[in-house]
Amino acid sequence: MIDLTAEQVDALKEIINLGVGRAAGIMNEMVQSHIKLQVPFIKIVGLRELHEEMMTLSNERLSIVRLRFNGSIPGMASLVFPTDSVFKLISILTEDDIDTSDLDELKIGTLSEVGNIVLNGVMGSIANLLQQHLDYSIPSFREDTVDTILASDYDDADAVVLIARTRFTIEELKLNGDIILLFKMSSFEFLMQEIDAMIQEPKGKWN
Amino acid sequence: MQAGKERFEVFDHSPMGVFVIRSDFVVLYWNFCLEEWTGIAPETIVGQSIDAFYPQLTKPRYTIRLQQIFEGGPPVIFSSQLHRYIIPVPYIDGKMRIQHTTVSAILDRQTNEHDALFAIQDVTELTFRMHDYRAMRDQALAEVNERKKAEAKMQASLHEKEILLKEIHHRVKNNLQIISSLLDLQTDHISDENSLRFFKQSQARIRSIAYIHEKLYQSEDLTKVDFKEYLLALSQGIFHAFGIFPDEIDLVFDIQDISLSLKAAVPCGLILNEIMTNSIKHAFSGLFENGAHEIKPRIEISLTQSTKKCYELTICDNGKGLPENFQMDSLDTLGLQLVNMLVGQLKGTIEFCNKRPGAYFHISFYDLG
Repeated sequence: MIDLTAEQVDALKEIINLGVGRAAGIMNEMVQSHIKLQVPFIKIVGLRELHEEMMTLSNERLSIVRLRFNGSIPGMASLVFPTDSVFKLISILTEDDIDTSDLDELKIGTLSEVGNIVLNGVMGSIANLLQQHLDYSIPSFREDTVDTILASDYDDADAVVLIARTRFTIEELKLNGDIILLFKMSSFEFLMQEIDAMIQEPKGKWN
Repeated sequence: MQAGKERFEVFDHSPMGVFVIRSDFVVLYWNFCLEEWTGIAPETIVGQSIDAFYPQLTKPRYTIRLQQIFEGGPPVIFSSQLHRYIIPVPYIDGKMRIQHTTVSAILDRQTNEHDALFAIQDVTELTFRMHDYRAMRDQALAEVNERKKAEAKMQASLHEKEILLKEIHHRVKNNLQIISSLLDLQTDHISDENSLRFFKQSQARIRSIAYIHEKLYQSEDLTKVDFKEYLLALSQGIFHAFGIFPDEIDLVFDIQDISLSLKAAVPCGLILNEIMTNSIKHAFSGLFENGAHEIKPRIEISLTQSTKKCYELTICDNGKGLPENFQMDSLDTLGLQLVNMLVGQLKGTIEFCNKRPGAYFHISFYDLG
């Protein structure tokens, strides 16, 4: 397990907040309401903690948008939505009433786009930091239980995952909800090296 | 631009609309499917800026996200619910073709630049069907809600009626008690023994009916009387009326958990009242006094269900037994005449005999309420 220093956590949080901030900007361009996306905390965890964290979202079914990437550091970025957040977000974006009945093809398309916006925002920040070329797959959507998602996407017992809890708030509508960003990488070492370099050169590429 | 055609011509066979633009928004490729949808031939649009044909694509809503594609970033999705369409194409009835679009970065190895490949899926039919399905589902849900509301209203009304019915039973019982008390007051002014006896008997009969109403308003089911509870209360009431202490006469019950309708419970209660009263008055007089008999006076009551609606009521004592030549149809006492009449009302039959010792009555009756 990687133990992050307070400075590393702050730097990573800043990078991810930058990414979700960009994503929020894109969403605001699309809808009338002002959507705020914030990352209250990040952690690098093993499978057991990941399971616990995901269970805090829902012990039933979760929706997940995944983006695999290849290149020098292969991995996968996922955005996990608990059911109530899913329906809230869809209603805000489509300006329809909250319809909690079921997740049909049209709603899945919308959610895939939301996931795509957030993941691309954050991947943009991370790829910028890594300065590595990555090849991306087409984002995919699935809805399943926490256990099934973990068994298929995080089947490696030694898997290490970066979790970024993300909170969306729409003040005008007094709405908020939580989503989770997950990054699984073949190695976090390279990422951490770059983070350390960034900490040492604060006036570098981030400012 | 010919190079673009060769790079992407495999998409001419795709059922999706596919086009490619360069970072300066110049169209590099336009497939057959798009030509069919838009009527714009590749020769017309390739080499031109997309802005000249579809200016909305150069608005910030799109450019902000396409920028990442031109930098080789991850694919971008424009979903049908949020964008309706990327390329406006008429469908039928003035509607537009609804589209779900995925844009991917494609590296041009000659220039080392990334182009944006748009793959447009026509989801018009899917969307219409989904809307039809949603409308159908909403209608079904609305109907279910209506039904639930109606059920809740019915339940509330039923509850109200139950309360009302309880109140009526309560008042009937109270009124019967008042009548009984009035008769009691009246007896203070009667000196004739015979008249006094008639008054007491009438009082007991009224009380047996009052107990039924009391049990009814106390029960969950307002249409049925728990007969076991009723018999216990009634027999204690009769003992009390005759000033008999519980240890003077043994009361033995063999009663199943039976609930009777009001229609059967009233005559059945009156029958029991008459036969028990008869036993208390006649069966034991002079028999057990001064320890003349070793056996204690006893009245046994049993009630069992023989078939779905048929019941068996047995009342016997260990007293003197019935007089010789005892006949129900030639009785000249009101009490046992009443029993005969009430058995008829219950569509039942009555048998009686002398057991050694004591009188024995067996009544089979129906509860058709």
